[in-house]
Amino acid sequence: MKNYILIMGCLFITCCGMQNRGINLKYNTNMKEDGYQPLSDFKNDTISYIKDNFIKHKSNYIGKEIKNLLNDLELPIKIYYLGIDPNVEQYYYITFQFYNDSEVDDKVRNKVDPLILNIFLENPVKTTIPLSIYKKANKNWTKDASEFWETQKIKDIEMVNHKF
Amino acid sequence: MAGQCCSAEDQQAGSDATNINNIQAISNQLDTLYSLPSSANEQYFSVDKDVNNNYTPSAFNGGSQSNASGNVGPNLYTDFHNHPSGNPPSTQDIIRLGGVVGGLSPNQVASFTIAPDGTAYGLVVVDEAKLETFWNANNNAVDSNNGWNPNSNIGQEHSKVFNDFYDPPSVSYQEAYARATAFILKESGLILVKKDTNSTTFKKIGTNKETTGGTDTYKESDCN
Repeated sequence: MKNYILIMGCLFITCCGMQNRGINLKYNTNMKEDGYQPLSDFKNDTISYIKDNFIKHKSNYIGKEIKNLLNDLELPIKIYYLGIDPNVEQYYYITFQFYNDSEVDDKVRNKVDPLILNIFLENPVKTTIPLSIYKKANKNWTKDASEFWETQKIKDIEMVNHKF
Repeated sequence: MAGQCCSAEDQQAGSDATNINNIQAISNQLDTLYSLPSSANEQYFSVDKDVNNNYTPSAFNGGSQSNASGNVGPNLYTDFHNHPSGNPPSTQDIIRLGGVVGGLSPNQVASFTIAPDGTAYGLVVVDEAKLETFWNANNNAVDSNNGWNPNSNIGQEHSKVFNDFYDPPSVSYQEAYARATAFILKESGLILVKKDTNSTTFKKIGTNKETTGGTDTYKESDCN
């Protein structure tokens, strides 16, 4: 019985070790490929998470469909906005807000970055479809919104700079 | 809720704009701007005012479809240009006015844009100190396409308000854009006034923010 427990214990330790090495190996491989680091690595520092993954490593997403960014993004989009061109009736960017408007106002008041992300489009959208989706869902990022926007290609990604 | 926030200052801005447009020397030249079609390029003229209250309009200065400007100086009282697109005052119009009032043309009191359908907008200077603060905070937020930089605070606010109002065909692009502009000009020292197509009277365009359940919505608060 003693030997059985010893053998089982060794097997357990070995398995755990292999599993950890496997996770680490996979994780490190992912980092080398695209630089993406999961939110858990940032210990709830959402500002660093967004800045590191989507600004510093924006090249991973530029020229690709928005769905690539949405697939990686671990923060829920609370509200979004459509960015209208000041000269032509077309949308050339969309804005993701991860906090509601009141929370954003509070953060700005306290000089904390409210994390507002602008996704600029390779090809501006000229139809009224996104507006009807937007109005219907009262600014909430819905499945309809995601399905409409996910195939648009990204030209650039920027964070709103509040100059604190 | 139209009229809810029409202060004495707001009403005065509308009256001042109306009176400026009715000055004979100006209204004669304005007829030309009102007659320009949407296919025309922008045309600009300024008006100097001397110590004897004589008003002297400049010659027209032609530009492109989206840009025209003229000389500035200490006697510059107001200026006018058409917007073939029918759009309200642009970001550049606002920043330019703030810059000259704070610099070479401290006596400029207003700036007007004219749309092909006869609609006109005016930016009326009501507080030079506030305008200077606004200009210092936002003069670098002009985007290359002559809008507000989307990555700036003011650009975000403008976009949010525009989204709330824009609802074609009932609320046009120009109407939503003007309401967004009116909102970001709060505390700017400028008041945005508008004259409708068949009217001769300018009135303040107002936009107020209401927050419900953490979400902002924007409402009209014009002067009647």
